[in-house]
Amino acid sequence: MPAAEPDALLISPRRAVTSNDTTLVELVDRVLDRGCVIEGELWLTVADIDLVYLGLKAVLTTPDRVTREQGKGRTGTAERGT
Amino acid sequence: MIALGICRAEEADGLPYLPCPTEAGCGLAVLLSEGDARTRLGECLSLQERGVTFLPFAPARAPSAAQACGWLAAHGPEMVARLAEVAGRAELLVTLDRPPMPVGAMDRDAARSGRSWLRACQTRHARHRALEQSLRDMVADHVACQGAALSILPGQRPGRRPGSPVEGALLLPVADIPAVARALHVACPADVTCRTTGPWPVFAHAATLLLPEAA
Repeated sequence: MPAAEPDALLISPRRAVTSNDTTLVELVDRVLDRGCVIEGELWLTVADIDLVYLGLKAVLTTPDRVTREQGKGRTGTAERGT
Repeated sequence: MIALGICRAEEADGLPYLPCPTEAGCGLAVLLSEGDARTRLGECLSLQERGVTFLPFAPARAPSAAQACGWLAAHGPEMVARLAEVAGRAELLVTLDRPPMPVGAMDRDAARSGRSWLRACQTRHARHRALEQSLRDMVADHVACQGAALSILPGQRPGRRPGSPVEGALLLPVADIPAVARALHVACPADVTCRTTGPWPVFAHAATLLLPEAA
């Protein structure tokens, strides 16, 4: 599979990885940390008046991963295992 | 050792790997690495360039070799089928963005009342959804490759600016990626900027399958 960039409109992964362009840096960051994130939102509106907005962001991962990540930032939390 | 991804054992020849005891006949291996996340990303790109069919773990979230092997023991047949699906394919990442909204009265008022803040949120979300629909339409109307699959990637993450771009991973035959990228640029609405990068290993399409249990 050729690594060469076949087209000016198509940025190769190698170029993205070494780029200083903010957008590409962000993109590589997301590729590095690709995970499953559930996002949702709920608006409760009555007579065109927004009463309640509920935003949800949930990351799917294992309890083990969560406890390890929390352990890096602070201690004494989330001791529940699997 | 960190698990880089999963492949068929015969494709792992010459690479650092751990053969896994899966159900009879599966013949799968866990590819290994000792590097950091960025090194692992480079290694995944090298595998992709060499034409190795593999299911990569997200480099920053990859499990240990033992974890991956334990998980694979229970998911062998599923992974064999998944590897067959992604053989000869790679991901084209498509990012659509719009210029930021001009600062107007609504933005200035947003900090003054809850209602205005909600209105501003609603407008941002509506713009984001419209952009997402544009991407779906562009793919539906201009991508004719057999078995092409679009996965819209999580749009907003903590710390990112509001109204962030929409990003999708399109699973395509590797040879079709340049032509599809050109077609998407042509089809892109005038007020939207389109950026295409690839071919990437199948990070997005493997992530949904592998991460929740394997991480």
